[in-house]
Amino acid sequence: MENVLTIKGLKTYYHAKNRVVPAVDGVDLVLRKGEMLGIVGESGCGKSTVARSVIGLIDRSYTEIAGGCAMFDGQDLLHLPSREMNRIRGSRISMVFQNPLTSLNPVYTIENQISEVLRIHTDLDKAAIHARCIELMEMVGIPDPEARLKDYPHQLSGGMQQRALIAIALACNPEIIIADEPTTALDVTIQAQILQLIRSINKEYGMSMILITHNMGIVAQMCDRVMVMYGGVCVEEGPTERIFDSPMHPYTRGLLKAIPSIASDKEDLFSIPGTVPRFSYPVARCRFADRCPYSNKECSESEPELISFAEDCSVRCFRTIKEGI
Amino acid sequence: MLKYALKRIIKALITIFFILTLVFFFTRMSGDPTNWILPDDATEEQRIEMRHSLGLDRPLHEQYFEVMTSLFTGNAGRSYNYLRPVSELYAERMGATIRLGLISFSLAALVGVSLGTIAAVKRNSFFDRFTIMISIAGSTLPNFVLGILLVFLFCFVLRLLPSGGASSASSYIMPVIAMAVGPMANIARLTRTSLLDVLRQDYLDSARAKGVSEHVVLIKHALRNALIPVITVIGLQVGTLVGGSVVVETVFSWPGIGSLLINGAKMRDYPIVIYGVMLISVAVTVMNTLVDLSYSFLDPRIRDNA
Ligand SMILES: Nc1ncnc2c1ncn2[C@@H]1O[C@H](COP(=O)(O)OP(=O)(O)OP(=O)(O)O)[C@@H](O)[C@H]1O
Ligand SMILES: [Mg+2]
Repeated sequence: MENVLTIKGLKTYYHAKNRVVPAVDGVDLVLRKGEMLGIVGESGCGKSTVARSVIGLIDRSYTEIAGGCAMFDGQDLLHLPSREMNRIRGSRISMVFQNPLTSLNPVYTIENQISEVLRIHTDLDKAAIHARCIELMEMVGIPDPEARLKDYPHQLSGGMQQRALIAIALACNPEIIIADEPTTALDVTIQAQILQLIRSINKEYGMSMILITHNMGIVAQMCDRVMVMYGGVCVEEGPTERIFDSPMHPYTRGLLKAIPSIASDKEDLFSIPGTVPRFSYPVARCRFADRCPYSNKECSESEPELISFAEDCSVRCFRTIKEGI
Repeated sequence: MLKYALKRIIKALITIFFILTLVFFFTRMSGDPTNWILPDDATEEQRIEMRHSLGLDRPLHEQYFEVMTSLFTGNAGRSYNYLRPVSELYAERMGATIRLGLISFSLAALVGVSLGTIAAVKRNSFFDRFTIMISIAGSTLPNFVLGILLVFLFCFVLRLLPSGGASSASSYIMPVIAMAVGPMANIARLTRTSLLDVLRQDYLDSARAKGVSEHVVLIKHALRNALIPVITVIGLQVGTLVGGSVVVETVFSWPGIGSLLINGAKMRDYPIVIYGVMLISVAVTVMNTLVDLSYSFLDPRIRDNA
């Protein structure tokens, strides 16, 4: 299948006070046409930074793209002039954010905010823009669109706000939609509806999507392929089914064990011991070693490579590689 | 909304009523107007007769009742010294004050918002530090001190500008600066703080993700939100500005209502004082009410609660 986005060796470093935070430290990723790719990992492992680097939503005054490229339609998104980038953002690649309430501008109506993206990227006239807004509201399942368009963000529920943001993302029929934890801020019942909507958009319009989440349950439900991130790098990658059936990396296993299931006892709820450490540049060890039940001397002396062991499958762990797959 | 506006107006009327009552009693305690109207060697009989003709020998409550009713019916009496209706005197001088106020106010708002915006966008830069310094200096320096410093520098040292009056365009320069600097400093500081807060908001990234260019993000999305609290302060500054105009007009002998009021007070010209105070309180309350209403108009979240 055709690749719509190819990221190679992406490194994004934050320059904090006298410290360099290698938030993304060499990530390769391909997104294929029409697929739903999951990026999963605990808080702070660099998922959002990958997305923001691709779409150029990073503040260059303290964020450095230290290497790599992100090829989209023959252009490297990481080094595109802002004018060109603005032309792509919202029209060919769009993004849905985590917190719908704060992601909508409180002083403009929903119609104003949806039509803005159409005014920028299309030459539709006023009536056509209004018609398209109505159509979009229907596509994302907002009832009574004519009235809701006149509302301000605070007049809508969280779920409706997120639908409106999805409508904005959809407005120009983009080739790629990146959704960064689109349901984290919502009620559980609403979460399911929004996920369903995202899934149906992916299926019906064949839009390629990157879904960022820290929830393996969502990955199982939604994604065709998954990339598991830890400490700014990819530790395991593969088709969803394979990851769930035979996880290779100890971190992936930990994440899977941590999914709460209705069948299991409440007391059995597993969590990976420890928290994501803050890495300082450069990192010359397995990033998961401190929390890994199998780690040995080798793991804290050098960093394992990401090894591909089957089509679409790769893992970054000395032990798994040595002991054979 | 209408109910809210009505409530505001009633509250404002009550405030004005109290102010006028206070001013009435203060003027009556402030000394005998005949000392200023009559020559120094006037006899006691002449003084008594004068007080009688001005109605000042009547019981206080009668005077109070008469003054209040006359103010609310629009006939505010005659000045003791100019011997003309005070409403006429004020009407003649209103234009000069409004011109000075409007120019100073627009300048303060325009420069204040611009400085604050640039400072916030270029946070921690030299310009930012410079703006913070200026705005602290500007908001702590009283306008009459600034006025006197200006007169000293531009009239006596450099001999560039006239020290008073409103005869030419250049005579606006110093009074405008003296009046505008304080409010401008406050507006700049608040714009900066408010914008810094807004610049961290998620909805700016949403706008950028739509392909909105950076200066539209700043003006349409950030500034529009950041200015909501600034508008309130600008509104409050209008009050300060009106008060400031009284002082500044005196310093620069500006032919406006401020200097008329001060002269009236000096000469215990009661009708001038009380009418001037009424005009100023009405102006300030009207401005505050307008600002309050515009605030709820600017912020849809408040609009619903009002
Ligand atoms: N502006 C910044 N300055 C310094 N460090 C930062 C900055 N933004 C993020 N980081 C660090 O970079 C790392 C990756 O952050 P990122 O937001 O990409 O993680 P994430 O996987 O999206 O987490 P979450 O699930 O919480 O959204 C974290 O360790 C974070 O502390
Ligand atoms: Mg994130």
